Order: sequence, then C-alpha cells, then structure tokens
Amino acid sequence: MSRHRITLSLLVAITTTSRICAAADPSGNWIATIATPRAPEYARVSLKMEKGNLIGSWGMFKVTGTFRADTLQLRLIQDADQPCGILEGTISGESVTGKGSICASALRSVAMGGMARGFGDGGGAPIEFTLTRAPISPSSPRDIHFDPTDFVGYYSAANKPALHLFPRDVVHTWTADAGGVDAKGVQHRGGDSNIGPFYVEGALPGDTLVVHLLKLRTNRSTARQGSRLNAHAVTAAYLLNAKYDNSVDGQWTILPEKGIAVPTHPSEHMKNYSVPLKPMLGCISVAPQGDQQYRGSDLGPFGGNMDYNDNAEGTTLYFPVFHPGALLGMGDGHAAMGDGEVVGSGLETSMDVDFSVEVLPGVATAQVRAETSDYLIAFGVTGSVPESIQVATSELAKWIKKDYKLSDSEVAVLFAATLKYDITELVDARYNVAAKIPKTVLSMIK
Amino acid sequence: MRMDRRLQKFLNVLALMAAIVLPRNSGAADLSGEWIGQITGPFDTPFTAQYSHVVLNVTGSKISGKWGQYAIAGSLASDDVTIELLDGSGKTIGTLTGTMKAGAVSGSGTVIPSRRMGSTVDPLPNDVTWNLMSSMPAPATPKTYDYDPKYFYGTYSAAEPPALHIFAGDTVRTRTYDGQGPDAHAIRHGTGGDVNTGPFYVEGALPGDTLVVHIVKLRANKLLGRQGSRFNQHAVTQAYALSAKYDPNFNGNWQQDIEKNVATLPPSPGLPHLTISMKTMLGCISVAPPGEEQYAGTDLGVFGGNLDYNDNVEGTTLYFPVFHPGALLGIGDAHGAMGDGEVVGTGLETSADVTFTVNVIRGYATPQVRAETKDYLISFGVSGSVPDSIQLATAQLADWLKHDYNLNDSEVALLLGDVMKYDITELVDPHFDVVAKVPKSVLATLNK
Repeated sequence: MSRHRITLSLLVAITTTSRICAAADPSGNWIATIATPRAPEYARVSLKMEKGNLIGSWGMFKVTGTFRADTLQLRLIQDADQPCGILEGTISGESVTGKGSICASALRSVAMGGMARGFGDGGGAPIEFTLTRAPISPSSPRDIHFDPTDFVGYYSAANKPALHLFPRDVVHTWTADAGGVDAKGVQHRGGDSNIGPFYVEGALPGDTLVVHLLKLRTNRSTARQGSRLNAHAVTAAYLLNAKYDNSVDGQWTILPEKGIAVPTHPSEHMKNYSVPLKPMLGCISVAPQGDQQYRGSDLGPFGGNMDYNDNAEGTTLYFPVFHPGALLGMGDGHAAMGDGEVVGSGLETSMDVDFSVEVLPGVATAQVRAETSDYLIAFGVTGSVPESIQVATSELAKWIKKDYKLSDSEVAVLFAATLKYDITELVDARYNVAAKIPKTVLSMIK
Repeated sequence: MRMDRRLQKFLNVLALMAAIVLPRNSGAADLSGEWIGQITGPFDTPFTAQYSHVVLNVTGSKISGKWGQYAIAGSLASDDVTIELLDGSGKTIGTLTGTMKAGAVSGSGTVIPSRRMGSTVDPLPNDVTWNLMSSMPAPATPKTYDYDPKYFYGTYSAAEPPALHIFAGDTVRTRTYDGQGPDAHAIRHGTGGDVNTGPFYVEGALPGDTLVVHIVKLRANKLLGRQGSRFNQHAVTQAYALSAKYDPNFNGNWQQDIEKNVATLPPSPGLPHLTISMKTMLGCISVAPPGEEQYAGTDLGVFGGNLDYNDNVEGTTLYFPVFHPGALLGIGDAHGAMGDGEVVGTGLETSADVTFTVNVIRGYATPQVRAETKDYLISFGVSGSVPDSIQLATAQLADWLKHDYNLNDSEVALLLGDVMKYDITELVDPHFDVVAKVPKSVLATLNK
C-alpha cells in the first residue's frame, strides 16, 4: 500500500462525500449495482423529485416512483410503457439498498446473449441492488504526477487500483521496460508488468474508456532486443537452417537528440546502421472481463500486450470497459519495433508517459480501437491471424457504420477502396491484426 | 487430348525459336559460345525437361565450359560431341554423346538424378536425350514494341503460345483488359476470369534465372471502375456476414477521372460525395507456373498471377523466378484503386495502358516473387493460408537480404525485428498473399 494511494483515496472520499447530510434526498445521479447469479451488473440512475413523485432514468429505462420516509419505490418502464421492474429500497446517508424484480432485458449479460439462471426472457426475476452516488468530477481537470511503486504482472479486475482518476485528468508518469528495469536501472517486477491500474471514476461496464497518449518518450540511453526470428514469423525450413551469431547481442544505444537508435556493439555490416526512434507502448489495457486473469505478455479484447507500433505519442485508444473504473494499466515500452514483433521483442526500454482519460458512457465495442492523426484503427485479438483479420475488419465496419451512418453496402465499398491492415503481434500468446481507414477519406463523409 | 494440344503448341514455340536462331555454319570452332541446353528424361515432356545456360570452349579436340551449375569435360571429333557433366567435387554425374548438325547439337546419354532427400545412396542413372540450341544474341540496341493484343488468355500455363518475343532491355507499350464486356479489338480464351495480355517470351531467360519487370507507365484508360459491394467471407466474421443487409442494387461503378487521377462513387445516401485518389495497379502479373501446372487467371502462386498488391503500380519493379525458357510474362486485371486484401473480391476493375521493360538476372532465383518500389524491398508469400504466407514472405525477405547485403542470421533477424512491415494483399482468391517489406532508407545504412 503506497502513501500516494492513501492520500488519493482520501481525496476521492472527500470529493464524493462532501454533501451535507441533512434530510436524505434521492435526487441526483446514482450508480446502481445489481446482484445477479453471475457477475454484478451496473446501471446509471438519475432521479428527481417532481410534484411529490420520483421521475428519472435507470440505464436505458424510464423510472417513475415515490419517496416516503426514507423508502423509494421505483417502477422501470421500457419504450411504449412496458413495465420492466419494480424495486423498493431504503436510503441511508449516501446509499440506497433494496430489492425487487427486474426484467431480463434490463441486464446487460442477458441482452448480450448470456443466459443467467432465473433470468429468462419471460419476465421479472428477483434481485437485490444498491445505489451509490455517482462521482462528481473536480471543477477543472487535475495534473497528477504519479511515481509508480507497484508493478502488476497480471491483467485482472482483482488488482487494487494504484490511483483514482476523473475524466480529463492528466497523469505524468513512467514505465519500466518489459524486464522491469526503470530509467535509473532499478529492477522492478518483470514479465511485461504494468503500472497502475488506474481507476477511472464513472467508467462502467458497457462504456468505452478513452486514453490519450499525450507524451511518450524514451527516458534512458539503453534498449535491448532479441536477434532470433520467432517460429511464427518464418518457415520451419528457415528456422532449422538459421545459424545465429551470439556476438550480435541486441544491445542498443538511444540517441534522442538525433531521433535514432544504434547498435551498441555493431557488427562490421551494421557499423553505420541506425533505426528511427518511434517510442510505443507494447502493453496498454483495462481489466479483462469477469474473473479472467491473463499474464502480462498476453493480450485480448481488454488490450494488453498488443504490441502495435502506432500506439505512440499522439495516439488515442478506446477500450471496452468490463469493470467499474476500467482499471487502466500500461507498460512494455519499445523505442522502435517492426511489424509483428518477429524477434519476440522491440527495442525494449523504459518510458516517460503523459496521458489523459475520458469516458464514453454507453458506447461498447467488442475489442480495442485506436485513432492516430491519419487513421481510425480497430484491433482484432484472437487465437489465429485469419480470425484476427476477420474480427478487426468487422469491428472497424461496425464502428464506421455507426459513427458515419453507412449501410452495409456503403461500408463494404468504402473498405474495398481504402482499407489497410497491419499485422501487429505474431509471437505472443494470441495474435493481433489492426484494420484501419484513412481519416482523409472519412472527412468526406460526415 | 488436352496434353496433345499443349504439346503441339509447345512444339510450335520451339519451331519458332529454331526459326529465329541464326544458322551457324558447321565446324569445330563454332561449338564455342553460349547455348541453351535441354536434357529430357524418360518421363519428361518439353514442359518438365531441364533447361540450362551452357557455355562451351573448344580448344583443339578438347571441350570445357559450364552446363548450368556443372562443369564440362568433353571432346570433339569431326561432328561427334562427347560431354561429361561434373559436379562440384569433380565427380561425373552425366555422360552425353551426340552430333552437331545445322548449327545445333543433339544426342543421348545418361544422367544421375539428384539424391532423394534423406537418402544416402545415389540413384541409378537415367537415360536421357539432350540438345543444344543456339542462344539468341540480343540486338545491339534495345527495341521498343507497340503491342496491340489480339487475344487475352485466362489460364496460367507454359503451354500458352507466346504473343511476342523480346530481349532483355526491350520496352513494350501495350494495354490490359478488365475481363468484362466485349473488346472491339481482341478475343479472350482460357478458363480464368482474370485475363492477361501476353505471354511475352523473354529471350535468354531460363529456369533458375530471375525475370525483372519494371513498370514504366501504368494508367487506367477508361472512365469506369467497377467494384463489388459485399464483404468476402475471409474478410469479416461469420456473425457479421450473416447479419449484413446488402442492397442488391447498390451501384459500385466508380467514375474515374484519368486527368485528375481521382475516382468518384455514384452518390448513395451515406456516401453522397466520395472521391478517392486513384493508384492504378496491376492485379495480375505472372510468369508461366512450374512444370505442367495450370491455374485459372484468378489464381496466384510462386509464379505471381493474381497477386493483387496495391503497390504493383507505375515505378514498381518485380522479380519473378523463371520456370520455363522465355519466362512467359503476362499482365492484366488493372484496378484504378484498391484497399488491402481485396475484401469485396474486386478493386476498381478497369483496363489500363501499360509500358514495361524487362531484364534477366542469370543464375539467381528465389522461391517466390519479389518487388521493389522507391521506398521498399518487398517479398511476396503466396500460400494456402495467411499464417503460411507470413512465414514464406518473411523467410524469403530474410534470405534475399542475407544474400544481397552479406548479413548473417542474427543481423538479418535484428533488422527485420526493427523495421519490417507487412501488407495483407490478397484474402479472397484461391490462395492467400502477404508481403513482407523493409525500407530502403534503412538498408542504405548497411555496409555490404
């Protein structure tokens, strides 16, 4: 438990509980937590007293109800005045606890095709719920300097938040390299460990977490890289014939003022060899769905070790949120890397990172997306390259159809003429392909 | 039946070759020089026979020289020629005897085939027939041909009769056809949908060589660029394909403005004014496939074909492994523009004016096609799956760089790990195609 964390938890406590607790008032914005037979579910709830009655919204439903002597009675109403639940709760201080019944379509897991026991489409099912006050952002975004002390080796919702953020906050921090070594040479936990996780107030499952990489720079002069091609990148015949030379040690010297990196002990043929610096974050993630846990080198719909060489300064990433607070983490900086990480590493080094966060309520996609100055990008992380291609293309198509109001035929024609693919990850536990569309073309549409 | 027709065509080609061959006066000294050697085994057809560059030096009655990769020790007595083929260790692997007649040499003999992989014993010698044909001398100055195609062919095959014979250094100005609708000037034949112009027989190109094709000029030459409007099943998930609602009347006929080099889609509700930059590319460019293989025009392979790479454009140079004498270059399937992977099964399908020059790199060939643009060296990997294509493209690029830049395996691994890029070029045809490429700017910093 770090000192920072205590201070910040206090800060959050102060900002969220600064209301004067006179007579309990149900008016305002709440977050509902609904106990289901599976994982808890969440909804944004907004309540207002009007002419002695309660009105408002619960997720996508309208609410009418009453409030008498600390007791709320709420009716959830679907479009066309279809009743969709009756709930009763008691307000105590800044929270409400209660129970009732709710129709299946009010639950995200059912709406998305899950079949929770007792929550068939037929009608109401008994639930328990609590309401807590929605967090209120500080009046202006904060600049936070965060010095990481803990490095997280697994992607999991069980990781304790290192810092609570509000949308639009800017964080100035740093990452160690994939092996856990920071700018000063201090060894932390390795294995593609991540800093964070950062709990983003107001982010709920079904939302999108937006992360702007405002600044991403190498912060030391050394980097390390593998020098053997991975089995997924070359043929078996090539692998069997390859004669690797141990004197090629993969050590690099970073020259930021020249914008290049050069081999530290170059072989004769590579005496003048240099590669342009393009610092990228190999790992950037939210906590994976439900009880899932993945090690740092893995990747999935939650992001993780995506190893995309355009996850660089200026890039914005969009993550589907699977848990309250999203639980953003990052690490595994590379000073430069070719496509596919074919030698199992980039130029592994530590980074200075500035980032800010935002939340898009109610916007959910199946996988991670990104935006650079030139492209809109959809990632497809799966167990095979062909499937990754299909997922990335489909995710991008759905995104463009929705945001630009295109038909299936229109998006097909647009993609046929202008789509690009990048093969980003070939050598880790899963594969990653990015599908992307130039923004110049999209600018003609809206 | 089909085989007989193919054979007949091929023999016509040989006859044509023979007709252009300058008749040499018979005589001992005339055996010296460059020849094309053909060795035909017991189960070979002209398509599977082995062709080699042969150089003979006659001193008195002694013959020395090279037959492909083999050294020659031989003798000449009057018109009777005896040639022994020696491998790298000096061991005799073939004995050929024959006679010289009217400027050509032919005869019979025995050749020990290569060992089977993993075997420790030499196979028994094969009976073969052989002949030497004069190598065509190139004209003193390269020529430029205006070739107006009389037909377009739809099957990649060495049996396709050459449309034009050209030499290394020559330039051809011609056109391609988009395969739809009638063409006033030419007919199409063959089984494939993507028809090609040619094939062009490049004198001096033999198996084991590389054919170099430089695209000097490539411009779409008509207003229409037809395009599909449904995603192919390899490009999207099943769930997407099943839920997509396509408009059967969607108009994918782009209007191409050749002057401004832009294409405009007919207005639709969501895309009322979509105009994109054109980048005219050749979807198909090929040599004849190995042996007796035949592929429909839409197919692709180590011989190229329907590679559908959107950087096979004006200014690009392609490198093909040669599988048959003359290489048999063909081009077609121009697209006014296309995204990666040809995800709807087409680009902006159009016809094009094409100018290209050819060259031959003798004695060097790679397993698949390669290319070079002003920015990148590019290696194609065509196979039955995207993962295999990735591996083949990467391995060929690594071997190429190791060969041309004298790098070892660790150095090339480092380099590919730093700067290699992939493009997914073809997802929707009978084979898949991925390219691996490295920027030339980085290669320029290497000491060869």
